[in-house]
Amino acid sequence: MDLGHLLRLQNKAKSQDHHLRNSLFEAFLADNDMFITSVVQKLISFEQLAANKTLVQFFEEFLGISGYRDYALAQEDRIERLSVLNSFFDEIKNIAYLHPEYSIVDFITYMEDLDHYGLSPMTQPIRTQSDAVELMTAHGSK
Amino acid sequence: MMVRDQIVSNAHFATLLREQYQYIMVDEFQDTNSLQASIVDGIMDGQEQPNILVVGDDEQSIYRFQGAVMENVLNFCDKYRVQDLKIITLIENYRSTQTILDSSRAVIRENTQSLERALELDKSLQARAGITEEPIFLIKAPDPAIEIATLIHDIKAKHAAGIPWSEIAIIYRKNANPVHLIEVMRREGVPFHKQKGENLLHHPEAQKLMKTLMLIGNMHRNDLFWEVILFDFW
Repeated sequence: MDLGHLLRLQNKAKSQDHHLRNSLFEAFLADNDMFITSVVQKLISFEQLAANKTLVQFFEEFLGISGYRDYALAQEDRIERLSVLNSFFDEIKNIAYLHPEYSIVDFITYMEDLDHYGLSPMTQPIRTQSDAVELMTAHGSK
Repeated sequence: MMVRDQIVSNAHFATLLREQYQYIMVDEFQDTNSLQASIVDGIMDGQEQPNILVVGDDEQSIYRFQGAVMENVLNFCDKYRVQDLKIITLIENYRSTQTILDSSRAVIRENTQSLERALELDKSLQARAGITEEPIFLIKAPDPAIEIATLIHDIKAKHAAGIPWSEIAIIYRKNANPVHLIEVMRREGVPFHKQKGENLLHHPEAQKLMKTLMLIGNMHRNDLFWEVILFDFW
């Protein structure tokens, strides 16, 4: 198990063990300076890209350059991940259509407002194969 | 609210509505609020024999707490009782076995507030679907992880005995409930179909994208920096 994975697990568990966290971080930094530099360079290039492209163009390029698209396709649960990605991209397209002038920050603010008022978009239903166990709410079972 | 106010204050508007809608039917009455009920009442006001039919079940309310649901229905009964109100209890059921209906009734009858008590109704349902009766098994699990493990073990055993996956359903209370269940089903190779999507913005994958975009939008967000660096897609 790599150090990055350990740190992610620690984050996920919201661990209060700061000593362990700091030690993991130091070890991660020492072992991964090339990786961190490469991600920071990507982030800086994304910042510039976002300033020069439309929201939709930016996001398309972001998915390729960041490695997110390949990562999602390589996962065992790719059907669900791609479904979430499609829903997310659909929202970007809808908002870019309604507000062509929107920046990334505007988009995030808009999405946070939707969530705040209980209007968050929903993910698509998930089906892993045609013969599958049905998952539903008690209300939906009617 | 404007419609209700207009019905109350504008006699011409109210008369137009009463002439246009002489028969009113309200479905899922248990989910109506007092404003919606007052619009219906406004249209019915002044009619000697109002043609109104409401259909509802306080035990199926999903938007309101039991007291509020009962108040709405009891107000309706009080309002129309003098005008030959008829209460019809629908007791034929085409969805479940008698075992399930009787067991659920035994639980629901523990409610201290119910229309069944308030209106002295008998809502003992009768199964009409002709489904073969099967006993209900109740499993008490000490924690959610064991509950899910037991459930998946049972589902796999049923499938191994020849039952198609699609004849098995898992029912839960809220749409956000089955996150861990899905994780285990995926790990154990149990195919599933989740009928309804969930809040996109609360999904871990959408959260990753949102946080990364937040950081790109504002590179001074030190609070996000390490979290984003540690995402597993780079």
